[in-house]
Amino acid sequence: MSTLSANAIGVTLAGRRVLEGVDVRVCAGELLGLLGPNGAGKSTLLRVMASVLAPTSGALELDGRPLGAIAPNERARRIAYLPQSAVCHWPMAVEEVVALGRLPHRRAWAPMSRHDRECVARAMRATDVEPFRGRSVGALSAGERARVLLARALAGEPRILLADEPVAGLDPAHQLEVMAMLSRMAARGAAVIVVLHDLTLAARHCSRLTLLRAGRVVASGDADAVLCTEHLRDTFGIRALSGESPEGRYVIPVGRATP
Amino acid sequence: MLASLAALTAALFVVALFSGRSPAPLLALFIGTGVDDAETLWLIFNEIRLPRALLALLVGATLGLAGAALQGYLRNPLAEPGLVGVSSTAALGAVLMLYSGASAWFPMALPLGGITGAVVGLALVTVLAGSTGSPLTLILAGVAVNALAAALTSLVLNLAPSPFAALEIVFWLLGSLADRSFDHVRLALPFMLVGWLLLLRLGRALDALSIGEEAASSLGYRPGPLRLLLLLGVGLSVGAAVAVSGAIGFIGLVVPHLLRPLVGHRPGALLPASLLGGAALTLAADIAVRLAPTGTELKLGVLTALIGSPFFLYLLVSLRRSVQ
Repeated sequence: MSTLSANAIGVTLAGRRVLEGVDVRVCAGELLGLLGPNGAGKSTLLRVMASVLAPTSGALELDGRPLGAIAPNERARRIAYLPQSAVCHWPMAVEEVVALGRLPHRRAWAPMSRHDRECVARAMRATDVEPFRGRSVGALSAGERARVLLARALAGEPRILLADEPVAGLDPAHQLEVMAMLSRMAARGAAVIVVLHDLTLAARHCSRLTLLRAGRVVASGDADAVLCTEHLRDTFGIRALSGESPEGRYVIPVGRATP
Repeated sequence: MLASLAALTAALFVVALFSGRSPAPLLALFIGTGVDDAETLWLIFNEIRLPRALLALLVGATLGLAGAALQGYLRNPLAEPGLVGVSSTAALGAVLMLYSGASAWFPMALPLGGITGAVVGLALVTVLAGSTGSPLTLILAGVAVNALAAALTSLVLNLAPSPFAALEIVFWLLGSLADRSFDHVRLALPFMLVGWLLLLRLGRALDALSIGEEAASSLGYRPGPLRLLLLLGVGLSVGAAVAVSGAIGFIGLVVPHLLRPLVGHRPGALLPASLLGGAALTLAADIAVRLAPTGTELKLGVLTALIGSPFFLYLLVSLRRSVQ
């Protein structure tokens, strides 16, 4: 059972205050959706929680222990981070890219164990990239490449997953599939934070939502509380068609909000 | 793949031992017939051929490995070992020994000056690049140190007491493995081995870097220590290589590029392959300069540049094509 908490996080980048007094906590079994307009600080917060970026102020804790006191390799085994940009600089085979997720679990010089290979195969099945496991990532579409990199993050079997826009660039079927897969992961005891722009996907799949605006948390709670008319207007500047359907909640932006 | 590269390197090493202006008598030494002066021949074999072949092996392996490591680290197929600036400072150190005349009364002053230059250059680049762990500041520090060392080398040439002294410096700068002894091997080997070990250990970090610095950092590879280890590994091994051989270009650029598709483009897998491939190519080139029917023996660095620069052009054209 894992809990990752960010307490009173402040970040200043190039003289600009990007985050200010942000408290976020994700527990085992939760799928937390991180929402907010461009520039709200979602990605910065995720980078801080992944220990990729040091916060200017505030503290991070993993199961009550300061995250900085945990060795990088141990941290990497427990927390997986999927950055927003789906890059792979060399045209490696899909399977080799996914196998990078096993690096923190492997001893120096040791080859992949059977367990490592099973984890890689599972991650490829979960993201539906197995059909092109032998192909070069350079020959894939952007959406396919995004799924390969998600598989890489899953291959480490992390207890905490921080995914920055994992469905960006994916076709609708794969968007639904990835969200369902993240829900299943949380249901099996992982703690997942996912940055999303699709409000309907967020409302339907996330167990809790946190809304950021200009570097501060403006709302946190269930979809009803976070995606209310006021927040959509004040934070996103939009009007939206929102309601319940037999399939769940939907939020469809229809126009700019008139102030 | 590694086994066949190792076999190729071993075969070329043996061929290098028997390659020279007079190959037949040495071969006869082993067959045991028709040898008039076995002692002289053994002397040639032990004191000239063996150290030369060993140095070709070591220098080539260093350049191949360092090139592969830098290309992997910078995620750029055009990176090469000279980029970090240590080669130029090593060359400057050696040139100063030639200029001051120190190498005339103590031959090992030349490589010792090279090693000193490499260490000074390494320290300079490390300080200039800072501790941020960013590849960009490393490149900029390398450019600055390269420019400074090149300017000082030009100054030394300018101030050379006689045209002959200047010519000696220029000839050394061309890069060669001729007339080296076991003292050169002994001097360079420890630096190279430490450098190789540092670089070979970076394989997994370089693999992780292929999906970006942030993903690599989240996989547990911190950018600061990673860059420092890379710099030390490249600086020590390449500095030692330049100190004993002068500037031998293009091996570090061409070898990783040729081998990359054969290892599935994975930067970590490319490291040992480029180590062997660099050794093989340098041995082959050094055999070629000895067997080529040129009046004066070609300098090894001249031959690698002659082969390497058209290859570099080809690389640029094919890169441009893949971008379009």
